[in-house]
Amino acid sequence: MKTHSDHDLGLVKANSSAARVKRAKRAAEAKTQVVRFWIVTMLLVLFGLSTLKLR
Amino acid sequence: MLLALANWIASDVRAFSVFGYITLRGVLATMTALVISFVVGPSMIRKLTQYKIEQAVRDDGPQSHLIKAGTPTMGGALILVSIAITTLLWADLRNRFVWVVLLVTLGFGAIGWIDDYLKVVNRNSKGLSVRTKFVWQSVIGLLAAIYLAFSVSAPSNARFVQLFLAWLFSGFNLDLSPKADLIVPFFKMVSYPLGVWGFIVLSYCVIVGASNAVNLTDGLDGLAIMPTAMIAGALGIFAYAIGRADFSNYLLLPHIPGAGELTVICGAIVGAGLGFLWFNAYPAEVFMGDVGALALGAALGAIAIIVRQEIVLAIMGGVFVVETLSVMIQVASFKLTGRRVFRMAPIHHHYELKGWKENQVVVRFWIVTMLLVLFGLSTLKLR
Repeated sequence: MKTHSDHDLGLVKANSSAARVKRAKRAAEAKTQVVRFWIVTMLLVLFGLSTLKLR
Repeated sequence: MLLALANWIASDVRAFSVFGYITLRGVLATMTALVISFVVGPSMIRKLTQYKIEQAVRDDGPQSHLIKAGTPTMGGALILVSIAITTLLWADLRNRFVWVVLLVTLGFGAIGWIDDYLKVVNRNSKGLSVRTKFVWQSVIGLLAAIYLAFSVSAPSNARFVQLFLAWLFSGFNLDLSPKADLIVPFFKMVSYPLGVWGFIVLSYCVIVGASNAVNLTDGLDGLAIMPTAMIAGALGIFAYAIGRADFSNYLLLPHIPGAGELTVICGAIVGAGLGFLWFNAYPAEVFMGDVGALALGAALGAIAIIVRQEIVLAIMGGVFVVETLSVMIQVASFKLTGRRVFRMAPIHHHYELKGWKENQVVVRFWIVTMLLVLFGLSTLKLR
């Protein structure tokens, strides 16, 4: 049977918490990207609408 | 400035007369403000971080907000720089309404700037005293309200002076033209004559109220700026319609000569707002601070007054109204009964404490604003 020392368990805990922070960071970055893509789309829509008058 | 240049060149090269069209300048203003935000934004955020112009997070707020400590604030200066430069470039600088809106915006921005600066220097969330802030807001709001009371009815500054003097010498008893009436949405034959005093009091409340409402809403990443941009876009459409004799006649709205030029400022607010959102989207790289929130709210209020759409502003800015009401109800309830109606005020914190993620609150409030803006725009025709 495989056993873990306290030191090992602490290491595992630290690793999982670091992974959680990394995942949260990646998720936050993804949210920023989504909003930025919305902004680009809004501009393109504005640009498209302006062709109604600008001709 | 560019309009004057284009007009000068247009005498030789006829193609340049295209810049006389407000719609083109409105679109160009949006693009210009956006580009300025993108160009200036990163360096401004770097400078704000370098000088430690950081947000002091309120210690009684949601625990999840404590990680926001250290995020640079006063990013509203970026919005104001974009709006000011763009307006000076593309708007007709002989237009008095453009100057009123610009000065009100920058005036409220200055109050916000001092407030933010004191918060940064003192390293807490208390800046200017409520009284001082309110006094200065009132001074600017009242000056703008008095000017607009007469200039909305007067087609020129000379006529404005005549009306103002007539008001003074009549013992402050003068009726304004029907253009200055309070328009009731959805009713084509119903409008409420305000008189000079009524107009001044209402305009003052709209400018100062809108300014503080946007400031209260500015508590989550992107929550205040997107509704502001949406409402500015809608007010730009109103300004264009009201500034044109044919459109206003067809839509049964008062025709206010010169109001159409506000389309350019509205375009600048939309562009600057979207440009700022680029950096303010969750997780925010920068907060707008009072310098942005107070200025943008006052700008929306001043534009709504000039285009005679105070009630429609309250409809489209429903999110701002509800945020403000939530604070008032919470304070009144706590003082009178000792109980809280909401888990926390303003109401966006209430939803956060109910378990909504910050992003969910923000995007759902945007969706509500989109619907309200559509509803507000429908009043153009449904009457």
